[in-house]
Amino acid sequence: MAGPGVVIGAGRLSFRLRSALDFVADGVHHLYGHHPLLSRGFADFSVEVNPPRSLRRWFARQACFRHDGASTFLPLPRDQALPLLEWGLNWCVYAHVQDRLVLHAAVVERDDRALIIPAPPGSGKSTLVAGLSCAGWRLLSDELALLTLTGQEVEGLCRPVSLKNASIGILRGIAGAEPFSPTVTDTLKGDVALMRPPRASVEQAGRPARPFAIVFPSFRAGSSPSVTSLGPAMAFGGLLESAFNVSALREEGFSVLGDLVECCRCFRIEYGSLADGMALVQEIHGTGEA
Amino acid sequence: MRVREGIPLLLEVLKYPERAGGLELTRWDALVRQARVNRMLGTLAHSVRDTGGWSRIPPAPRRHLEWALRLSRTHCAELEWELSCIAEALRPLDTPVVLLKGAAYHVAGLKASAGRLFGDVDLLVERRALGAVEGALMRHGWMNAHHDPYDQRYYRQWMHELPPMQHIQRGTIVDVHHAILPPTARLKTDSRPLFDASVAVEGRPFRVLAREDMVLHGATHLFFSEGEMPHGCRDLVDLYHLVGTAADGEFWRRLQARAAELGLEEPLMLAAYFLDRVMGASLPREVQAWAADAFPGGMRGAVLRGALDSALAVRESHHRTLSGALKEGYLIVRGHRQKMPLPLLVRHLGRKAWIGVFPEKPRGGVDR
Repeated sequence: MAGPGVVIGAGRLSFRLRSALDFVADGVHHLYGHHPLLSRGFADFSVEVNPPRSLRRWFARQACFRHDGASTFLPLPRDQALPLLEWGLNWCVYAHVQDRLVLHAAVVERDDRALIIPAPPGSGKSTLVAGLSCAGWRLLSDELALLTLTGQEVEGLCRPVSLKNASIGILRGIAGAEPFSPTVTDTLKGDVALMRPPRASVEQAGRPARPFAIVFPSFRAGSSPSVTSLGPAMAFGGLLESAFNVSALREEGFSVLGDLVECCRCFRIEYGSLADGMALVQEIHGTGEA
Repeated sequence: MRVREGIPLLLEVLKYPERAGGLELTRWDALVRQARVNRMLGTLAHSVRDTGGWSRIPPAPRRHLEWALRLSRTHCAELEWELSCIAEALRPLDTPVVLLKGAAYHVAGLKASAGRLFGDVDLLVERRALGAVEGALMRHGWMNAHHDPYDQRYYRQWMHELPPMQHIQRGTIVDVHHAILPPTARLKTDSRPLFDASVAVEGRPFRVLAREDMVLHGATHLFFSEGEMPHGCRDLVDLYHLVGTAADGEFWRRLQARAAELGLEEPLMLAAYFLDRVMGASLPREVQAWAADAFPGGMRGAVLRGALDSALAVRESHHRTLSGALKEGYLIVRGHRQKMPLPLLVRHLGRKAWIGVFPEKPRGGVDR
């Protein structure tokens, strides 16, 4: 990944990644192992994760994320370079893509019925979709749902899943250690590890899915599982908070959200363990059986 | 006096948008990046779309142009709303309100406005109306963004504008000018003739500068203020669109005559010099010769040329080299020197340095 970098295809977008840091190159090759390498000369976003151009290159070493040569975020301690890269790539998508409504939400799909799971950090959506992806669901995204402006479809880029704290151990227990990056400790979000998405999901990343339900998850340790049905207005309000570019898309963005809550079933779920959460999602998905 | 034989890809395609259809993907990779880094992706998208080669652009880069078109549509709608709010605030005053720069290009429907994004709305009003305009804007929600008494004095006593006024709800900024140069600047120009030649905008309570004055203001703003260089290339492209792409000898004669009237020959000379040098614009032969002749010679000319070459160049990346940073530093000092006589400048920079080292405690702040 030194020199001109590598171009990785993820869904309908492509990223040129560069880094002079060996462990970043190794991490990218591992985490994006199922993604196609492109050689067509065009990348949607050219980014790098490299040491800063300051003394922090050598002392209390840091890493910097840059897009087109500009640092978008403050530098972080060097060992957080891989999570930093993922946060940076998320930023590339939500700050630039304007022909999709970009939601801060995870998306999984099974039997042509997609579930959109919008939620603030800490609500357990990444853990939930990582678990589902290990149970045969197709993973579209753990962070960013892209809604088409016509046709009511949802897309994801199927990039690595970012897991935090206790979730890391739980998912390692399910998927084994192999798909994981090394765990980075003491980040702003606690411990972070990235999990490579399943090959089958990556291979289908370019295929949109049809939204079936919107599920607002709330993980609370020890609570018993429950499902509450939400009206379209409630769901609309929740989605509006998760939408990055609804103001840029104006009326069109607004009507995409309106159509989405009209055509989907909307729920709030509360659960105290990954198994309970997955069971609730299966149950919601099952209501679509003919 | 061209910098080099070919011009950068971005400028080439802005000049000849019909060439976009034939570019390979690797060239598009460079073109989209250059346009984004230099804040001209929207301008590029509009130019290419208007020439009709849209369908020949490969889908991947075309998507970036579509994103930019959408953002510029949103920007236009927001600007329209902002202008209607300003119009409502100022309508009762019955004083001429001239829009400057981006907002003026927009209401006048000029090519320079297509796809251009900008932050602030700039107004020019008569000096005697300043108080009334400020009061009316305040009554409609715009507040002074600078509370420091020194900043207030800096603007009100020495500058050609009020401190920037920010809307308390929308966060949008209006800059109210009474002249296009500070009263303290080396170059002097009177605002009266600008108002007299200004043109009413149909269907709106605003005026815009006459076309010649727009060019002269654009050039003055680009070459005689200290903060414009981060988007120097974009501003030069604005000038390119304003002067028109044909070597219109008649327009340039009017432009030169007007510059002489207003005392703005120096900015016009610099504009002509760098339009030719950086963009390879087709200027009338005698204008080229005039600019080449009038450009400062010797060491001073060489330093100025080197610094402006760097500032007006198409950037490939946001990354600054040390030499680029030094040249930019030189232009910031030069810009300040143009704005204020040396004793005042020393006082101003001394104050800024002092505040930088010993920030004043915010009044009413919590003790820690």
